[in-house]
Amino acid sequence: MDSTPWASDAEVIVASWHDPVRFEVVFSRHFGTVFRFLAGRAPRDEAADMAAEVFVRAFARRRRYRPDRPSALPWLLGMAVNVLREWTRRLARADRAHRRSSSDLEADVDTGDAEARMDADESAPALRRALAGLSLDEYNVLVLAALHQLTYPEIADTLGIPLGTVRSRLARARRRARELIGPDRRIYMDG
Amino acid sequence: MEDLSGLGDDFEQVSPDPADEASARARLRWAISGERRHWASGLWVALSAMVVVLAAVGAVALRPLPVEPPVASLLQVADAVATLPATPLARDRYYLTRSERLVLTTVQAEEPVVSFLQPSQREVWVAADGTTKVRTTYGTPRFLTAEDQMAFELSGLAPNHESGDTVVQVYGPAEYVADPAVWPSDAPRLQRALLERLGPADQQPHALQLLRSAVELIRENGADPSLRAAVLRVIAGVPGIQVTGTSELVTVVFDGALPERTERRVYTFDASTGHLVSESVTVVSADNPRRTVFSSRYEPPVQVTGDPGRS
Repeated sequence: MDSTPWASDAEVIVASWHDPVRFEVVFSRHFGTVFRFLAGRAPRDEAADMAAEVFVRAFARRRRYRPDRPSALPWLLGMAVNVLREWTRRLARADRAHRRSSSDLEADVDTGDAEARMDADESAPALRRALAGLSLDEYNVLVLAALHQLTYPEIADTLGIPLGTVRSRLARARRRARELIGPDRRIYMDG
Repeated sequence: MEDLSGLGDDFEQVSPDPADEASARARLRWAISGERRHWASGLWVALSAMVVVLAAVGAVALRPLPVEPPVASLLQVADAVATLPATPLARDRYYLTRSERLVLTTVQAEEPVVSFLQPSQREVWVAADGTTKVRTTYGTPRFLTAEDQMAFELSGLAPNHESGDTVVQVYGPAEYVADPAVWPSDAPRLQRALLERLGPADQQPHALQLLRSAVELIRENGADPSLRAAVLRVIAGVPGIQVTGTSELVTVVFDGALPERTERRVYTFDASTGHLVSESVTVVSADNPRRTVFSSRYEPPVQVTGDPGRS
């Protein structure tokens, strides 16, 4: 038994270097959160597949985890961002291919169309539908900050972007979210 | 700090489907087992070479590799329990759990300190609305030594409960039965809910508090399979646990260092239903004689009809 009252993610991951099954504890702790992050942009079944992919990748890369970071959530969400980005590109490619195969041979279709379409689930709560209108980059910074309460440096680390970019992108995302949410539902921010 | 009004609630409603979570967990396990297979095959090559060398000198000693790590067996039990159907209670029915327990009582009769074990039998009825009646019948105290018994009788003290005493306690809904609004059957959320309620660690390690509070949610209360599965998954994540098991029973052992003693807690669960079968607490500090201070053995809960007051 270690001397820490409650083993941090970092301790669990380090233990999993030699005892791989320990990594399942990380899954139990964070699967729901990673799934929710992905389900904000993708249909449930796709989100579940992607969340599984995140943990398989995380397991494969666990030896590269920096043990000085107690919580693995930013690390996992960083991988979720990449998986989501890849999925969005695939969706956009499929969307372009579909359009080219139709009679209307438009050249380039903005990926935003695909992004907007993937979340056009009418049963989703209004706020989530509005968030689906954000670009993927805007969605990432806003949800990481607002929902997952990551600090600016953690967001920068998670997304692999400079701190200044986090600030500017977050400001843009807030502005855009306000426009999309409209007068019916307010967005409160004090940070 | 910022908050998107309603966003947290919206997202909380988006919980993964248990089937999706099980599927994702299976993918991760496959990846884990893949590494183990790879590791094992690499090890096998190395061991084969070693065997040749050792055979040459006439000394071959190999142990078989463990098939599954212990915590995995607990998680497998949880997965199996999660697939069991819930059996809700009709209005006139109760979950009845019978148990036998042995509790060490220590009293100071001037000098020396005297200890005795007192057995009791408990019957716990849980109604559909969660109200609970607990009936405890006490047995004859068993002194650890003849000297203890002599000292106790000379002191004129009496046990709190004489042999044959029966005590009935009644609890309201959600006092004995886990309130699903507070204790979700989704393992990560349940773990968070338990962690949020931990007390200071200076009296009792957080890992021990987590283990105890998780077990409490499914003890003698006819908890649904989904909650039992979630509790087992939470327990699998408690640092420091040791797990052993057979195809019928799985046992969790935890050694907790408290300010005044080290104690060993042992919980045994039915591997097919996840029900708590037995538990015990034994003082294992070096300066204490090895003593089990508490033990209980539970029968599986059964559905019964009738008024528990007259049963």
